Amino acid sequence: MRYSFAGSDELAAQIRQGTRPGVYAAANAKLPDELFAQKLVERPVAFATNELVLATPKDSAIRTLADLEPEDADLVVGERDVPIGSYTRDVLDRLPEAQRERILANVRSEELDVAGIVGKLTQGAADAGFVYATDVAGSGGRLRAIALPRSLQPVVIYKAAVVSGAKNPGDARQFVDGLRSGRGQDALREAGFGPAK
Amino acid sequence: MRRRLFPLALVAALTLLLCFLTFPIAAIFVEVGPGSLVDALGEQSSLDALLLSLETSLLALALIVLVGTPAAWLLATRRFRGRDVLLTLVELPLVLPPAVAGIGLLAAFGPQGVFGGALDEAGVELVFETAGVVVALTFVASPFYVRQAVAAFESVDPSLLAASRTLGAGEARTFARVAVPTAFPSLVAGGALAWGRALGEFGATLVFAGSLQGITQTAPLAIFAEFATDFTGAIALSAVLVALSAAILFGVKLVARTGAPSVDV
Repeated sequence: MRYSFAGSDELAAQIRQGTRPGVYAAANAKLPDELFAQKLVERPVAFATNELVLATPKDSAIRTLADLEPEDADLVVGERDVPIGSYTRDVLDRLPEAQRERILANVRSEELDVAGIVGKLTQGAADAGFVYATDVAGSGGRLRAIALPRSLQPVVIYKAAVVSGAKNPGDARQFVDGLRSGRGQDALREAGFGPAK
Repeated sequence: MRRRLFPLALVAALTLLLCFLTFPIAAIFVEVGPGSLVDALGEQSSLDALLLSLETSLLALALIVLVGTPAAWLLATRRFRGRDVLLTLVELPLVLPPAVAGIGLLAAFGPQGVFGGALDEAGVELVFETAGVVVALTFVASPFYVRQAVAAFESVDPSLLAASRTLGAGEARTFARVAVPTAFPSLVAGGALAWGRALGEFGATLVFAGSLQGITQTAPLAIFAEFATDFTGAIALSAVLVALSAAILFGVKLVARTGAPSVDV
């Protein structure tokens, strides 16, 4: 078994360019569904969910979204075109306009990936940032997660699919089934992912 | 027949090299029509990014030349134990992956960095600030100038320097009136390389200073941010950056050839 890790959009672009891995597992539902519509992969199945949280350095005084409004709060978010940045704007768009404007005025950097956000937080350069729950779980205790109110939470579903024309479709199918089986789900739960509903 | 083979091989090698190096650059200009080039420059975010790139890279270049020239003179004219180590240290940023440079800068000058407390007390903020971009560019681009400056000073004819001293000029005067004018074309070439490198800097800037329009988002960062959604915009901005860098490198070659000041003790 060989893994190739990269941004979901890059991996999708590679498949469109003609590479034929066995399985495509993405951090959203949109890209695998698009590839399915283009008949490049078989029907995608959900294998995990994630949540957006407000992450802070562990000794931060920030406790709620309202703490992001004072002018001295430094916030980092994802650039609007990358998935984390687009989810973050979904969250902010559900806030009252005045509150959203005050929070956006405190954005000090629009990072190009989650690693950039996590790095700025663990280095104490920023006070808070929106990331996935799993990023906080994987930060070795350096970050703290503040859960978002249910009404603001976007749906973050991860889907995987067997790639059309895979060399060993049987093995590929087995891998996708494994992701959804007891052991696969246990490992995902341990890393902080939620169950696929 | 045999004798013809080697020159042919040389020409083949040069052709291969030129094709490989110019095709990706030419492809940028094939993809982008003159219309979309103008459109890209009409976008406020692209314009902000280009202006910020020019401002920060010129500031970085000024710092590099101001400190790098006398430092290079010292390295070029003295022989001491550990000189090779110092030369290696100066060159190190050349071989660092830019993201590593950014992490190092954060570890040194970030809020929790080694010098973070001292900077904070002095009221200096770098992360998320334009000043942080200048620091990142200076760090990454310095070696390009300093290496060239050391080599340039080393190749100044020693008899010129000796004559200057014989005529009663001190070291400062010899440096300013003989060494710098003599080495001038090489110094300019080194400055152009450093400037070009600073214009293209990406990783260290992103990791250390962040990315925000008008404050820290330089042209390379804007290109990458646009790449996912607006390929045409990204490639048009790329074309502008390439044209600008090429103009700098070429213009400098002209200056270095014609504008070298004369030596005058």
